Formats: sequence, C-alpha cells, structure tokens
Amino acid sequence: MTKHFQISTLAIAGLLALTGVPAAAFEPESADPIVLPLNEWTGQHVTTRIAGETLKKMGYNVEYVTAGYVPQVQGVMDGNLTVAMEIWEQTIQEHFTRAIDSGKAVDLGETGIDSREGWIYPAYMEEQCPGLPSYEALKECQQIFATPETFPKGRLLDYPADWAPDNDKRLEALGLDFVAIPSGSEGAAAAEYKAAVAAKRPIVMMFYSPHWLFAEADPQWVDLPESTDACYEDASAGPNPDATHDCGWPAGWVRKLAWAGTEEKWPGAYRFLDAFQIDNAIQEQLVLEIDVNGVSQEDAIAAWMEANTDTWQAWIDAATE
Amino acid sequence: MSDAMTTLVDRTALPTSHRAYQLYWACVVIAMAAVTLIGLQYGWLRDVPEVLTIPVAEWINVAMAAIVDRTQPAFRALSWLLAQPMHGLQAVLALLPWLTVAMAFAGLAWVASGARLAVFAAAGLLLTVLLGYWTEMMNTLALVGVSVPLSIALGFGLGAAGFLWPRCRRGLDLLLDLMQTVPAFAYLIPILLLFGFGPVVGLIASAIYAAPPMVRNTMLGLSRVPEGQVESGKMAGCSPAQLFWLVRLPGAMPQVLVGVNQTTMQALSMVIIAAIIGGFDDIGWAVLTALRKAQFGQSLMAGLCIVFLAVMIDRITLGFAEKARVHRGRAPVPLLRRRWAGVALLVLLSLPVGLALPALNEAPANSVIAVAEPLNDWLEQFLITHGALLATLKTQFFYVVMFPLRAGLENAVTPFTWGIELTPTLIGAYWALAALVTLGLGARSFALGCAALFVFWLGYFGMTGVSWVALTLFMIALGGTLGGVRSALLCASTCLFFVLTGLWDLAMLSIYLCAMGVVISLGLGAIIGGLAAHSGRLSEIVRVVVDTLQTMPQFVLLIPFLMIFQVGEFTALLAIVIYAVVPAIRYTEHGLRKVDPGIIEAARQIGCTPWQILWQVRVPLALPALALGINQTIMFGLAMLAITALVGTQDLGQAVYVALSRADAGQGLLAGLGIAAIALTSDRLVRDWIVRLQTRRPVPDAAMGPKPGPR
Repeated sequence: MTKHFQISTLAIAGLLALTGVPAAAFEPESADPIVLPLNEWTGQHVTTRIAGETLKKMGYNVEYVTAGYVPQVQGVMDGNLTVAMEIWEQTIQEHFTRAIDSGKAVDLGETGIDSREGWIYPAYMEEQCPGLPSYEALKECQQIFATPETFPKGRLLDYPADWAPDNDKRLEALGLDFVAIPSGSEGAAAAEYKAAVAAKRPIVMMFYSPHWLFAEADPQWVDLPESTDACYEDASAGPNPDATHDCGWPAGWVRKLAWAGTEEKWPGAYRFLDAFQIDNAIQEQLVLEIDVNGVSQEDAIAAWMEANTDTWQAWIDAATE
Repeated sequence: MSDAMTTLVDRTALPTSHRAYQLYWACVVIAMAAVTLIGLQYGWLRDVPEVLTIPVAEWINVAMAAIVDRTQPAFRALSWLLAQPMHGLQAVLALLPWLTVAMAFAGLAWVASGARLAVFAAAGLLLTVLLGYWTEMMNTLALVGVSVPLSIALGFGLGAAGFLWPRCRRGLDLLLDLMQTVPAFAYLIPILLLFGFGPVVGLIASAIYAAPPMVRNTMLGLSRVPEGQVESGKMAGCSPAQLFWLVRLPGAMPQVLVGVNQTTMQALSMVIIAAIIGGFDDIGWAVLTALRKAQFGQSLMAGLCIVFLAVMIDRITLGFAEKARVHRGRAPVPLLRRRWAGVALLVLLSLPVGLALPALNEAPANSVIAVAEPLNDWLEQFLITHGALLATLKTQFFYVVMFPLRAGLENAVTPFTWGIELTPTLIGAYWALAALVTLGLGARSFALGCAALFVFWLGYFGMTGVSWVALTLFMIALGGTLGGVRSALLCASTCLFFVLTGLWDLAMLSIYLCAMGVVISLGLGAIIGGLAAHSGRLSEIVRVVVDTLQTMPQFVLLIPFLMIFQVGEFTALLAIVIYAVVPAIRYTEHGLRKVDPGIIEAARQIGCTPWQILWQVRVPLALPALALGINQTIMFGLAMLAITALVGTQDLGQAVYVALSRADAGQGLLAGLGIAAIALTSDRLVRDWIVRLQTRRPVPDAAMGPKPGPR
C-alpha cells in the first residue's frame, strides 16, 4: 500500500512536471509579480527568460518588461524591476557600483557567462596588415583602416555610445592613431562587419563574445597587453609609462543585480536567482536558434525548457530545500 | 519660433547699401582677417582655450542630486498616480477583442469624416493585426491616451494664462521655444531620476514636448474672439469667469481644436522616441529593437503601423475640429446622432462576436504575412549588387564636399584624398581666386561680396578649423545687420554659451552636419516642390510621400541608409535630408501656388516666358513663404540631429545621447540646450531676414503662409 502510494505520488509529480504545473509542494511567498527586464540584445533575453520560466515553474508570477540597459539600474533600485540578469562589467560597472553602494540593490553574483571583450578583425586582415594579431601592428597599418571620415587616422568601430565604451582612452594610451567611431547599435556593428567580410574590406571593431557573429564570421581577436588592476590605477604599469588604460580588457564578469527587497519578499526566488548560472554554450546555442534560424524567443526557450527538465528541476530543488 | 511674425524691424537695422554699414562690415572683415592671421601663430585665438570653460555640467548634476533627494517622494507619488490610468487603459485595451477596438476606431473615423476614412482606418488596423504588432500598438495607444489629455490640460492652462496675463508672455514664449527645440533625449534622464523607471518617463516627456502647439493655438484662438462677442457678453452681465468659459472659450474652440490635433500628433511621435527608456513593450520599442538588430524589413513594417495610426488619429481629430467649426452653436444634426448610435451598436455587437471567435479576439504575436523577410533579402541583394558603386559615390562625396567643409581645404587636400599636394602656390592661387570673386561680386552688391569672402574663408579652414573669435565677430555682425542690437546680443550669447561650456567644437560639428543637410534639403525641396506646384497629379503623390516621411518614426528613417552606407556621418546626413526635406517641399509648393493668379496672368500677357514667370514673378513673390520654409527646414534638421546619434555621429546630438546612456543629467541638458541655442539663433536670424524682405518688397498678405512648427 505504502509502496503503491509512493509510486503514484512519483507518477503524479512526474506528470505535473511534464505539464508545467509546479512540481514540488513549494508555495510562492508572494503573488506579486517578479519583474524581469529585457534589454536590447538576444543573449540577455535568453538568460532572463530561462530564469523567468524556471521561476514560473516554481509557481511565481513573472512579468517581463522591456527596459533600456542603463535606465534599468534605476528601475532595480526603485523596486520597479526585480532582477537585472546581465550587468556587464566593462559597460555599466559604474552604475552597478553606485546602485550597490546606495543600499537599494544587491549583487546576486555572476551569471555564469564568460565574457570576453576586445577588438576583432577578419582573418584576411593578417595578409593586409602583417604583424596582426599583435596590437603593435595597428600602428604600422593605421592607413589601411582609415576611412574618409577618419583620415588620416585609422577607424575603430566602437560599441554604441550608450554602452559607455572607453576606447578613446585606450587608443591614446596605447599610442594608436585611431578614432573610435561609435556604432550607434549592436545590429549596425554586426551588419557592418558582415558587409566588410563580404567585400574583404578592412575593419577592426570593438566587440564581445559570446555572440552569434563568432559562429558565422569567425573573427580574430587583437592581442592587447594583459589587463591588470594596476593598468587602470598606476600609469607606470603597462607599455605606456605615462598613461593608464594601456591594456586590453579583463575577462569580465557578468553579474545579476537585484532589488534590495527581493530576499524579504520572495525568499525562494531569491535563493534560486542567487544560485542561478548558465554558460556560454547554452546561450550561444539559443541565440543562434533565435537570431539566425528565426525561431521566436518564446518557442526556442519553451523547447529548451522541455528538453532540459533535469537542469532546471535541479535548480528548483536546490532553491526549495 | 513665435507663430505670428510680430518681430518689428529694429530701428538699428539699416539697409546694407547704407554707407555706415559698408564701413562697419569692412571693419568686421579686417578684424576677422587679422584674428585669423594672428591665430595661425597663437592657437588660443583659433581653438577655444580650456581655461575659459566652466564646469556647468557638474554644477547642474550637484543641483540635480539635491533636488532629487528632496522632491523624490512627491514625484514618485505623482508617477504612481499617472501610471494608474495608463495601466488601466492598457488592461482594458488588452481585454477587448481586437475586432471591437478596430470597430470603435473605424466607427469614430466614420462619424468624424466619412466612409473613406473608416475604410482607411479598418485597413490600417487589420494590417497591424496581420503584422503582429497589435499588442504593441495598443500599449502605445494607452500611453498616448494618457499623455495627450495631460498635454492638452497643461497646454490649455499655460495658453489661458498667457492670454489672461500678457506680462508672462515673454517668458512663456521662451519656455515654449525650449520645449520644442531641446531634444527629448536631453531631459529623459532628469525625468527618469525624478519619476523613476517606467513608461511614466515617456508619458511626461511626450506631455512636455507636445504641449507647445496647444499653448500657442489656445492663445491665438482666445485673442481672435471678436470684441463684439465679448462686449455683448459683458453687457449681458457675465462675471469674468463666465465671460471666459461661456463667451471666449466657445469662440476660440475651432482654433483650440487645431491645437488638440497638433498636440496629439506630436505626442505620438515623442512616445516612440521615449521608448528608449523601455518599460512598456510598445511599438516604439519594437522599432528600436529592430533597429538594434539592423532588421530593415521589421522596422519598416512597425514604422508603417505607426504611420497608419498617426494618419488615422490626425484625420479623426481634424474631422471633429472641422465639425466644431461648422456646427458652432447649433444642435448636433440628427444624421450625426444616428451615426453615433450606429457605431455604438456595431461596437457592442462586435464584443460577443470577438469573444466567441478566438481569431477575432486575440491578435497574433508574430507576423502572419511574410513581408519583412523578403524585404531584408531584397536589401541584401541590393547591397551585394550595388554596394561597391554606392560606397565609391559616398567616398567621393565625402572627400570633395563633407571633409573640406568640416576640416577645411587646408586639411582635406592631400595626395590620398584629392590626388594633389596643397602647395604654397596652390594656396596663393586659392586666395587670389577668393579676392577676384569677392571683388567681382562686391562690385554688384556689397553683401554678396562679403558672403563670397566668408564662403572662401570657411572653405579654407573648415567649420572646425575657423577661429572662434573671428566666427563670433561675424555672427554678431550678422545679427546686427539682419535684426539690430537684440539679434546681435542673441548671437553673442549663443557663441559665449558654447565657449564657456566647452561645447564649441561639438557645436561646430553640429552646425556643419545640419547646415549641409539643410542646403541639400532646400535644393531638393525647391526642385520637387517647384515641379509639384505645376502638376496636380504629382502634387498628390508628393503629398502622400511627404506625409509618410513626417509621421514615420525618425528611427526608421535611419535604417536603410545605415545598411547601405554603414555607420557614420554620411548616413546621418542622408537621414537628416530625408526628414528635413519635408518642410522644404511643402513650403516651396505652397509658396509658389499661393502667388496671385492675376499677377501671373498679367506677366503672361506682357509676354514673359514660363522661365521668366518662375524666376521673376513667382519666386520673388513667394520669397517670404520660402523663407519660412527655410526656417522650418533648419528646425527639422536640428530635430533629426539628435536622432542621428544612433548611427554614430560626433556632435552635440551624440553628446546628448551619450549623456543619456551615462545618466549624466548635466551634460545632457547642456548639450541639449546647445542644440536649442543653435535653433533659436538661426530661427531669429531667418525671421529677421524675412522681415527685411518684406519691408524691402511689400507683398500683400505675404505673412499668411502656413503656420510654422512641426506639422
């Protein structure tokens, strides 16, 4: 009898898990929606939606809202947004620190993505500018990278200005006679890179991985002096004795920023989000599916959730124990 | 930007033929030449020295932080209050079947205007459903639905205050000018800090941006109520309050409704721009997301939906305004009543039908018609086929026109760009040519000679290379010549503003980009508008294109150029042209058409050729309207300048945009005020010039051109 009971419980639990009804006897502490911001790029949508869908499985009320990358920090501090899932160190670290210092937001640790940022170029540029991937080579062949707009300086296609890049400082510190031209938008940058590759035109561009562009166009990284803490504080560190910022980017963190009241209001969700981690592989695969193969975000994420029940169930179990 | 051209000719402004003026300009030219020459040795005469700049932006930030700290609770409460009706409206619109909402709009269109507009509305809304943007559109509608009444209330209040207390009118005019010329990107951050994250930011921003036409039309309407009506009200024993609400306001109503129409349109366009903050999943966000992914087709389709919505709302409000004008003081016609009843019945009937049939209830989330992808493929194919040619054209144009204008021939002429070295001999030849042309033209007209010399000077040093002292001298002299002491003071303070804030270089880059865009737009506008003035059918086509360009969210206009010409100033230039060409075409056509047919007939009878009629009759007579067109073209160009930051420019617009992203309220406001200062100064100078034209060549009714201001 007991055994039979156990089996049926298991069966029901399994069935429930399959049909998407909360599996465990976990009761969400508050029915108020957990509001997750969706920023402007697909990778962030993937991270956010996987976390959000898992929260839904736990029984929480989840709401996605669109939010600008920088304005969202204000939203998190005010509690209008619950957790911003991807804060990249190199772009809005300043806002992140300010938010933590204010006591209105807390750091939920890393998202699990290994980000790399730096300058990329197409492989054929090594013929036109021998010496690449070393950044020193760029000094010799800045003219190749010059465009009408920047001539006689070379042109570095920069991040959109609203991602707050600091390439102007680095170019100067590294002694490169280049102008950083903000690209206005990630799509514009990616489109221009692809157009350049098609025409075998010279291009060097500030970019990041993980991104689908790496799967499609196989860009190379420029070797820059290693990034150390001293590089940013001590002018004498790095190749240029008179300037800070004469180095590349550190392998950056990507962190989660939560509203300070989250733990009190949704303790279970807080534990889950605090522990939540994905990796580059998951994100890259889903981004490729969405951006290149044209599957809708909802469908792609739903398919992933269905195929990876064990993964998210383990997250839930860890958070509800 | 004040509506009525009330600027009087300042007595200090003399005709250029006056000897005193020629002497004055000779002095200015000599001073500028001296400064330029000495500036070759002393850099501080050429580039603004850093010691002159004061950290205004930091002060603003400190003040802002103090203000935010003290007033935040009040603003947050207000924010919450405003969010309620918006979320309520959003919920209702989301709950209703799309069929019902579409029915209601089509019905409204029918009552307002007739069957044609009803069909148009229905078709547009159906397209929105099919393209998968219905939800986003309803969210936008909820935003507009709250921001427009807010804007109208604000505008009406300010307008009535301006009418009742004429003493505040000066300050009010300045306020309105700033509201319309400071790019919204600049005040989004202060609003974000005060009101907190969310769609309320967009709501407030659009309420600010959209209020000025309401203020102006309210003032205009109230002041145009015939005195006789007011007198009879007084004699009937009205109290001041009764006089205002029962006599003046009804009399002013048609004009006030024109204000409502314009305010609605502006609110709609601003809501799209404010989407950059996010928080509401509206159609503006859809456009922005597509832009960020460089998806041409998707963004164009989303933009098209907005155009439909905008045109529909425009025609509906205009229709009601027209009805108010015609039926003033009369009871509603039975026909109208029956129509209302019919519409109400249809909407009610559609409710159960929509709820019963899922296809008519819930609009699809993604497009069910494949338009966007083929468009993208087409563009890609186009790029592969013609990309190289277009890139060459771009490069040539850049070397020959844009680069010299920006950095001057002294930097632009190199073996790499022009294939020749700029030798001392060549420089000598250039200035010899300059002297020749100046003297040649100067013999015919003193002003023309001065203008030629200025162009040569600018061409040699470029916008970013000319001495700031010399340019300031020139601007003051120009202001003095066109409008007298007050215009000169305005020019001086604008220049001083840029010097003190350290924004001089960015301002020059803005003027360079905008001026080029304006000149090209005017050229195109003159050709297209001129042709349209002669052909009714062409005029019809042009009107549709121009209306679409104007209501299309400015973001969308960036994308095709971005794909073809990549990130940079050239793309920005084209985007400016495509937007600023709208008033250039409109005013050219309007001005040429308005010329009294009697005069044309007379000219024909004395044997003028069509060419002579155009150049010696039509153009001179249309000049005041054309000048207003120039004014509006400049305003549109500057408005677009802020948007082109998204395709990577390096001017004030970009400074505003960067400040927005770094949440730097001070820098954003300063750069935004910089754009406003350029706009107000050029506006003032063009207006002074118009007044001069009119006093020199009196044309009856010349000031009655279409009203300035967007739309």
